[in-house]
Parts: sequence; structure tokens; C-alpha cells
Amino acid sequence: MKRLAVSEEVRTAVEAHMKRVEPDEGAAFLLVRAARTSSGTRFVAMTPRFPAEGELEFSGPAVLKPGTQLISKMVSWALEEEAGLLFLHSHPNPLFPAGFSDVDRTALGELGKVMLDLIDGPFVAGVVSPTGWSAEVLSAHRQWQRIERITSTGRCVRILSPVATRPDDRDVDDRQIRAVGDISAAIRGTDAVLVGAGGLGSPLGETLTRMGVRSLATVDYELVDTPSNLRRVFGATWSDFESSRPKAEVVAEHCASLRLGTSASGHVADCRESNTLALLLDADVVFCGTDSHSSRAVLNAISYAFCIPVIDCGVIPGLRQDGGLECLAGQVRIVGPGLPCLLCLGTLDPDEIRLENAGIDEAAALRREGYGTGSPEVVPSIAALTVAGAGQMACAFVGLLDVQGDHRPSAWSFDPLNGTGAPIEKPRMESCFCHELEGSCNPLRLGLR
Amino acid sequence: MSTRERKIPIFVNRKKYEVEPGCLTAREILELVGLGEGYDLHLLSGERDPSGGRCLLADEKVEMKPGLHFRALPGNCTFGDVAGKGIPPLLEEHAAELAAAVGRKVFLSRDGARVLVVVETVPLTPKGVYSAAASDVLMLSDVQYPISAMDMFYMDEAVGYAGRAYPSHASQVEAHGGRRWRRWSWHRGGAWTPGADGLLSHWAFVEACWAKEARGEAPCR
Repeated sequence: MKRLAVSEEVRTAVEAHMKRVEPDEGAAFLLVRAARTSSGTRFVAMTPRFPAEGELEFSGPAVLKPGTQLISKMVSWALEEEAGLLFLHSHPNPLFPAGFSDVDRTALGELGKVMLDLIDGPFVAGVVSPTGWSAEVLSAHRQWQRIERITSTGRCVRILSPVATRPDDRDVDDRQIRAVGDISAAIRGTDAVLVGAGGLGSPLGETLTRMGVRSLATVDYELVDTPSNLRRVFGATWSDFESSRPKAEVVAEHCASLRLGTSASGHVADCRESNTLALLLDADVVFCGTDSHSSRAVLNAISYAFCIPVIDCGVIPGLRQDGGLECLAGQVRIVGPGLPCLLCLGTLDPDEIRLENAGIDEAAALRREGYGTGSPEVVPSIAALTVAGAGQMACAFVGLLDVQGDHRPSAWSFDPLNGTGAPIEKPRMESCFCHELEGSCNPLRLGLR
Repeated sequence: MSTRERKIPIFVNRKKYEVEPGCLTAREILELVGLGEGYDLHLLSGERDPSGGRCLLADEKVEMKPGLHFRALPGNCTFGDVAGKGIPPLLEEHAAELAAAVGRKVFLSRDGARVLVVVETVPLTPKGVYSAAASDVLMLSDVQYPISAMDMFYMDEAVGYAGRAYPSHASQVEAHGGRRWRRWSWHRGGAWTPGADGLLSHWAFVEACWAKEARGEAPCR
């Protein structure tokens, strides 16, 4: 599958420009970079440039000619930035279906003859119309190939390309549709990747399956190898423990067994390894149910570099010295372009990352010496709290797909034991690394092993 | 000095070519690289020339010097929404006048011989008559405008009377331009004079129909 992702900031700028020049057709050029995914390619477009006054050769209500001077200028720009080029133009007429017209196809056919000789990255062309975006990429064989999924990512995720919706099963979907309206269709069109299939990830995987996501890829390298897993991992049984089965496979099989139309797959893999990246890049949304700083840091970086929203959750039960229970608390954080990242929010501890990367034995030894803030022991947990966290993440997912929900906080705390919760209002740090990563589409900057 | 040593290396679309010393026209350079008429040739100060280079006239001569960089691009890359092609110019003119008069966007689209005229998001007044506060309004014309008469109008499929069933004159739903529209079968009864009537007078007819609806009137059948 070919995907094109832009940030909400980019989408807003492009659509505002196209609106401004209506009823004339408008044009925009963006830098585009590509990365291989497990099923195709993910293109990330950023830095829109709009023609200045007089730069277009001509434009009108049903016509646009960028002219070779402008195209040549944009080619030089792409070369300077060592990127490919995305050329967008608009069809403001709402009666014209999203996609290229015959006139566009003739022009693209001509451009296609030379563009691959001129730039080092991909050449993508697209149309912005009132009914959505559509785009195609020029292949190495100079054929135009459709990009199936176009999304914008910020506080909301918008699927800009027409969603190939699966037919609703009214008996199954009725109450969900009545609860969330059009968001139900967006849920059913979503490809989700769930990193971590333990106490948090497994109930979340089941919830996402019951909500009807199109696909769910579960990623975890750990095994059901302690009896305590059985208290929290949904789908895990004594026989899974006895045969030390991978959590990812156990949870994926459990989700598939629900037979609710979600394509569920389990992947025994570590998100910090470079060979897992292609799988993650096939996601519309990544859910982070891991409990390490280093894996969170990688997912955080991927989110900004490749414009993929990541919903992260951390939970912690609070037991007082006297044995009394203080709280069952957690935080949910939605990260992605335009939003504060896990470093901005203070969630990631660079020292912990260093310790985790030191290896299990060495990290444990260092922790015993008092280094780091983490415990050398396995962290305490209870299903009541992890299921609460999974529910919060599922609600965050629904909110992410609500295109009118960009006013909502991107992070919040919850403590169902004490009945409390509040938005976490930390701004994005100006000096944070996440700014540099945004749209970079560069696997070398993710800190992968 | 051998012939090969006398050749001058130049670059066109980042590929190296060797040419004889002297001058070549843009047309000759394009022919050299196998690109014919229809291409523009830009002389660059380097592949990353931020200006995009200078577009050469077809017969403009350039003295060949080692390391010159050229960029050839197809000159006739015109994009466009074909739905907007073949609209009668007078209808385009009248649509612009209508847009200015009603303060809404007016879109024209060719569908075979037919031309669809859509006025975007028209507030429906007085309030309470219809089930929606606003609707896109479709009027059908064709390539023979203004000789060909206009009649009836269409609103969004969901729009009906507030709190009542769809009236019999709005019971038909039709697909035009990839959308479904409810037809409001008010008829002009042949009152169309080419030259005098046009899009603006038909819009006045639509508004008159709405006023009648507000008074509870229905079209004669």
C-alpha cells in the first residue's frame, strides 16, 4: 500500500491557499521523502511553497499552467533539499470527482517523461478538491501509480483520500454508529499497530478489534513466561504459559478469534530494531503499550519523522509505605506533528534510556547502585489499572479521529481510584529535538538498533 | 589535438553530452538529446540554481562552454478540471453576476450536453419552512444556453419541509454530477424568453418559489 502523510499544519496551509485563490485552480509544491513499509511505501510531504504573484503562467476556474520557469525553480529547490517533489493543484469545483482529469493526465504524462531525470527523490502529483485529496507517484518505469491512503496528522487525524470503507454490519455496528457517527467509519478504515501486548496492550488490542479497526498488527518480543502474565494479558491461558508463547501471537490470535472483520497479525519483534520499522510505517495510528523509555523514545521519534500519531499510556499503582493504596493512576499522551512530544512532556528520561540500552544485566547492576529512576524489579501492576489505561487509549483514539476535536488536550492524567483526572498542559518546547525530526522521514535519526 | 579532446562536455537534465565548440541554439540542444518541439530549455547556473534558470528562446544561440547545465521541461503542462470546459461563455458571465448578486459561490460543470449550475450553501428563508437552514441549489442548463430554457431547481437530497413529509412536488431524487439531489418541481410554464431570460431570472424564479412555499402554496400540476 502506498501512503502519503502530511502534518495538520501543512494540510491547513495548502487548503487555505487553495481556498484563497478560488474559483481559480491553485498550485503548491512540497518536498517529499519516502520510506519503505512492509506493504509498500510511505511518503511524507512537508514545507509547502505556493507560487508568488505572477509565477504561474496562467490559472483560471478550470485551468492551471505552472509553466516551466516555476517547475524548474522547484526542481532546483528539491535538489538543494535532497528531497523529492510533490506538485499539488486544486479542482475547486465540487461537482468534479476527486482525482485527475484527462487534461491533468496529459500534462502528467509529459512531465513523467523527464522528472525522474531531474530530481533525486520521488515525484508525486496530487489534486486537492472539496471532496478530498488524491495523489499518484511516478514509478521507476515512468508509470503513474495511485497512492491509496492520504492522511494528515496533528491533534486530529484526517483521512484525506476517499476511504475504502467496509460495508457496515448494521447488527454489529448500530450502537457504535449511533454513539460516534462518522467516526465509526474512520475507525473501520484504520490500520493500527499496537506495540506491547502485555497488561495494557492486550485489552487495548481486544477493544480495537471490537471497535472494528481494519487491521491490527501486534508487536512484542516478550513471552508469556511468568504466571503473573495470566492476571493481565487478555487471551493468555495456562497452556500459553506452559509453552512460553510470544505475547504478540497470543494476543493477535485472541483478536482474530473474535471474527469481527479485523485482520489481526502478531509480530515477535522489538520496535527498537531497525527491521521492525517497515511494519510500523504501515500504520495510521500506533499505540504504545510498552513500559520502557527506550522503546517509547523510538516510537516518539517515528511519530514526528513519519507523521504517524502515537497514543502512549503509562500507568502506576501507588502503594504507601504503610501498605495503604494511594492511587491507581496513569497518563495518556497523544504525540505527533504539532503536538508536544514525550520529551517536551517530560515523560522520557534520557538516563533511563541509556540504562535500558546498556543491556539487561548491566542495567540491573547499575540500578542496584542507585542509577536511574526505574526499579530493577518487574514493575507492579493490576488488571484494573491496565484495563483502565487501555480504555483511556481507546477513547483517545476515537478523539483522534474526530476532525472537530482539535481543541482537546493532547495529554491528560487519570486516577479512577480517587476519581480524578486533568489535562496535562505542557507546551511544546521550542528547542526540542522533535522539531528537527518533523517530516524528516530519515530512519537514521530514530535511534534504532 | 584529437577530435575527442576538442569536444565540450555539457549537461542536459543531469546527463552528460559532448558537443563541438561553437554556438548551438536551444532547438539544436533539444534535438541533440532527443527532445523535440514542445520542450522549454533553461540555462542554469548549476543544478541547484534557485531561480530555475533562464528559459531560452528556441533560436537563441548559446556558446558552448565546458560544464554548462541545461534543464529541459515539457512546455505544455496545462492542468485543469475538465468539468469546467465547454461552458457557454454567456453562462459563465451570468454565473459570475449571480455569485456577486447572492454573495455565494457558483460552480459550473459540464455533464455531457448539460451544464450543472450549483449555488453553494444558500440560506433557506424564512426560517422554519425547510428542514435545513441552508442547502446547495442546483439548476440545470445546457450547452445551448440561453436559447435552451431552464426549469425547476434542486436542493440537497435531505432537505424537505420542517416536521412534515416530503411534498409530492419534491418526491423525486435524481443524481447529477455525482451527487443526489431532490428535485423541486416548480415549473416556469414556458415563460422563458431567450435574450431576456437567463440564469439571473431563473434564480428570481427559484426565490419566488420559496416565497410561495413559505405561504403554503404548491405548484399547479
